[in-house]
Amino acid sequence: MSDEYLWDRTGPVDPEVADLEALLGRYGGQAVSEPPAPWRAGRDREAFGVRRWPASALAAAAVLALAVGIAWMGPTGPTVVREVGSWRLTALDGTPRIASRPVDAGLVAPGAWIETDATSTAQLDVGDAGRVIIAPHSKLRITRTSPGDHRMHLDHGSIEALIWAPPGQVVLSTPGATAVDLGCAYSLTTDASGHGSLVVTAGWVGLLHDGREAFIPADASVAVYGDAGPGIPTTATASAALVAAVRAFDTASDAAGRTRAFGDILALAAPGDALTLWHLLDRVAPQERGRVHDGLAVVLDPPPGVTRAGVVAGDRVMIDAWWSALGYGDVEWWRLWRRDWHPVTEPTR
Amino acid sequence: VRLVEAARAGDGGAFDELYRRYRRLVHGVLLSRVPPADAEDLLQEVFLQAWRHLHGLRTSAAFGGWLVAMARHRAIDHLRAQLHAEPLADPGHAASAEEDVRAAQALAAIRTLPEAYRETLLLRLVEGMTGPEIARQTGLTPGSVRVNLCRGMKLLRERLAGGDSHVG
Repeated sequence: MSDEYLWDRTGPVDPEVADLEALLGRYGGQAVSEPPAPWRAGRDREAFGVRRWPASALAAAAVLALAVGIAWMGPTGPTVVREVGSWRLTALDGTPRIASRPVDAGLVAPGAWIETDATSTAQLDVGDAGRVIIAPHSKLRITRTSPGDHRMHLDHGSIEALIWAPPGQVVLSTPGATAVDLGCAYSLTTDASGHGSLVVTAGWVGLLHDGREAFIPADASVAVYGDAGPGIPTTATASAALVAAVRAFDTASDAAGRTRAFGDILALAAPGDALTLWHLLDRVAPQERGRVHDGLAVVLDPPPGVTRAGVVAGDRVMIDAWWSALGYGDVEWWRLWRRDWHPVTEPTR
Repeated sequence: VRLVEAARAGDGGAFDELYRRYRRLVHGVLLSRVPPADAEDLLQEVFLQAWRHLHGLRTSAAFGGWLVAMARHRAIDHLRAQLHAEPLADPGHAASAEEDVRAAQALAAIRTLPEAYRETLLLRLVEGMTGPEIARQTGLTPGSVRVNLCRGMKLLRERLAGGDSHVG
């Protein structure tokens, strides 16, 4: 059966696709009623059913209106402006500390360490950019904050980040890597020497360390190895044997072990492991790249214009084109946001 | 791009038009994670959030991808707040008739797929968008969308047939 109907409804009708369209159309958003939109203030406000707005949206609108109102009425409104754009910590369990002082809730200044002990968990609202849940036994601080540029450093411990700022605006460094949010939700764990892991649950994260890059989309994870930086990511559907081979490759201390792990990865990779094989292209010597090309080509056809010779030669355009064919999003996203990102030297402890 | 720039300058009418053009996209992304009734409410929240934060969007052409990211985050936040797993079927669509049961099963099956396939298939089969429309609005390449549709549909056929498969 041709997939033209699935693609754009041209070509012969695929009866199974048509059946699903008819069946699932009832859930579609086209029929959702018009909202009482604040951007239409003053027009037909009363005509819209306010009941349809969830309480959280009304609360958000009220906070916004209050902030705007106070800023407009006051001489300068600096307090409100600072509050809206500030970093607020709230204890979820136990008593976290800001700059060694126990707190239940409070604003956090850049540079002050936030610490949780064995029994405390904290929520850090990153201005209007997102939210970070800080797990027990963690130490984190804000290293820079300005409109469109929020940076944190996790010395050790675990966090869950949920970021709704535009991609590239929230950067979290650890001793082993720097995570650039590309519109996502993720969990990150590290010890003080930079060993840890990253699991992405939505969107994707770019990891960077000393020129080594890793792109981790939703449903994928990666280990981070201190000074060696991020390893090779694997997807949630990867077999345990493949994950073990990837870890062996990442940590091999001798040529024989690395060669054996390299062969295992190529032998064990399944169609869902294109992400892993793609990263392998940048982690092997040029003379090994041909084998990776061949393995990747088995699970995902090279896009037009991508040749074996080009990939072996490390042609960035070709390798990026293959990434874009993986279905995780265009690598240009990363390139675009990376251009705006500049490393910062982390403060000493 | 002109609409996004106008909306960023405070033109509510332009944002209204963006809402109409992109609401299927946002709704589809939400529906891949939350029940249909919740998706309707969250749809409005996402656009409210977008209106509030539009000044932070540096690249107007990335508007669709930016909305998708916010929708994903809002859905995850919503699920976190619920504490317990949501039922897959929409309580508002009681599965009393055979069609309702089949629809709920098909929706549940799609929601078991990996994110890239799940969202793209929902946009195609539920929201009625074509592949080129999905590519245009999300900022993904047409090739990526086509791959997601084909692989996602293959997996969905297998799952609806009672089989299971790892993602390919």
